[in-house]
Amino acid sequence: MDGVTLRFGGLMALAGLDLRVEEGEILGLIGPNGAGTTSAFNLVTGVYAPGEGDIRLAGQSTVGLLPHELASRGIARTFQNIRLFGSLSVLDNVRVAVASRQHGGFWNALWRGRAFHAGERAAEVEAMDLLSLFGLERQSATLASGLPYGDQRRLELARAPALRPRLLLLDAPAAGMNPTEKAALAELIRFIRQKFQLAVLLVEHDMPVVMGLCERIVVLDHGVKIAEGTPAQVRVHPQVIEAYLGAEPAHA
Amino acid sequence: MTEFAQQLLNGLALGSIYALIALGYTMVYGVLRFINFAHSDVLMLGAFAAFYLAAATPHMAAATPLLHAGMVVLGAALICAVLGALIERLAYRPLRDRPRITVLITAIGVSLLIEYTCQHPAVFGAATRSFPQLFPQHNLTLGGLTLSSNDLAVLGITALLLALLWFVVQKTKLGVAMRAVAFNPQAASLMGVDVGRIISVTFALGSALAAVAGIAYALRAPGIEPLMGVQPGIKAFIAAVLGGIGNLPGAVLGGLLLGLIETFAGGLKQLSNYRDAIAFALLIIILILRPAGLLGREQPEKV
Repeated sequence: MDGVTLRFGGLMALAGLDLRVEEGEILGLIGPNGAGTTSAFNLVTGVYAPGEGDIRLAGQSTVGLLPHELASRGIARTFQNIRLFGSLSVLDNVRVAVASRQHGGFWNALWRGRAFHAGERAAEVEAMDLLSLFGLERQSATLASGLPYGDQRRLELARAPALRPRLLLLDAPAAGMNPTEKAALAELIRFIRQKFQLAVLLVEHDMPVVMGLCERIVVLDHGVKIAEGTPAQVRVHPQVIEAYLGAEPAHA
Repeated sequence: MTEFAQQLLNGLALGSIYALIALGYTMVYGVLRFINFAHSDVLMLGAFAAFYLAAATPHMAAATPLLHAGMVVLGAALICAVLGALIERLAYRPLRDRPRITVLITAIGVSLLIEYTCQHPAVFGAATRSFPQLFPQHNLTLGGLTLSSNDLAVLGITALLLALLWFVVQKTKLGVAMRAVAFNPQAASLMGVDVGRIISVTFALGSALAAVAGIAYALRAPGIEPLMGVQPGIKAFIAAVLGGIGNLPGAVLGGLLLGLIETFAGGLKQLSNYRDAIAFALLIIILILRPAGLLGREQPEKV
């Protein structure tokens, strides 16, 4: 992201933000409520178009591409409020994402030739493999809406790699989790990065998770980047402390 | 008893036509959440497409009647699939981000536009034309029951199409994408689904079913004219609501039920003039008891 600005009417959601995610890294994007983290996500996934500036994926500008085009170019995301396809089975939730990568849909489906059957079969097998990787294979036939909360979160994480993304955006994945679940989640995110060779952009309000997981952290406040660096650098950055705790410096 | 079984067969034949049309309403509602009022006109266009296709191929009709009938039905279905997708592309897609009521009114406009354009003498003209008998006429008698070859063909083709649609929606990647779009278009697009394409395919599939229904309807009716879709269209729409709009098995159930109610009410001599009134009164009662339809679920407002 280069000098990206996003306005809603008179409100400046992001002002000239520069953001760079290196290949294979886990980058944390944090900030108090309303700092612009979710807006940044929606820009990267094509839901919003930037007013100014440019967004590039592997050197190519993605401005003007539709969300599904971006998804097929390698950007996957999860949502803060889980957005599974509740009326679909667990397997089909993953199959949607697997299938969107394959070509030849409608006429192929009408003709139902050998390629069609092979494609259907491959999609199902790949979706099932992903489910077992995330320990969800036994629930594959249940409706997604019937899963317990923790499993729904895991299904969201299982669905994202099905797009074979280069960049995975995680929006507050630890929300509503207890410490044990959070530790397991951090482990899972590291595993996904390693297994699927992707970069992770993490928005998270839970500081221990962010500090423990991210190699670099960018801090936003009111749409402006106020700090960038390793967790250790960011933790002691005066402006960050101010943004989170208020103008009065906290004296110990 | 024979009388009852006979009416049951007639009701199923009529109901399966309603079911085919109702599927189109409910599929489009599933992905776009609006009622495509032009659907009933696609049905009429399907009947006219078949009419002209049949008229253009008299030799084939004489030589190989069954193959000819298949060609006519398939041809009309393909033509309507293209027309349905075209209507969506031209009339509804530009309004994608507008309030739903705008799209609804546009749909009514498209419907009237098609109906009255087709009534123009240069197009089809307003007069009723007799529809060719596509299938060889035989009456099968089985234990006192009479089944015309038309009804048999309609029942068979409907069953085949329902099975095919069920397979596509439940088992294929295309179907999974359709159901994902119906559940949440935005999330589907972020999962790499081309929502615009899925909507086109949905219109094409629904319109192809409507074309088959239009032909089946024309075979039972005295003839075809540009307003012929209105009556079955309204009834199929009610059938879709009755079964639970947005729900595919519901549309089939609603269609069959409506066909049966209508046939049985018409079968009673004293009541035959009040056939439609009785059918609709029953529907109103069912909808009072189950506002979301027989198989529909009450949807909580999305937050």
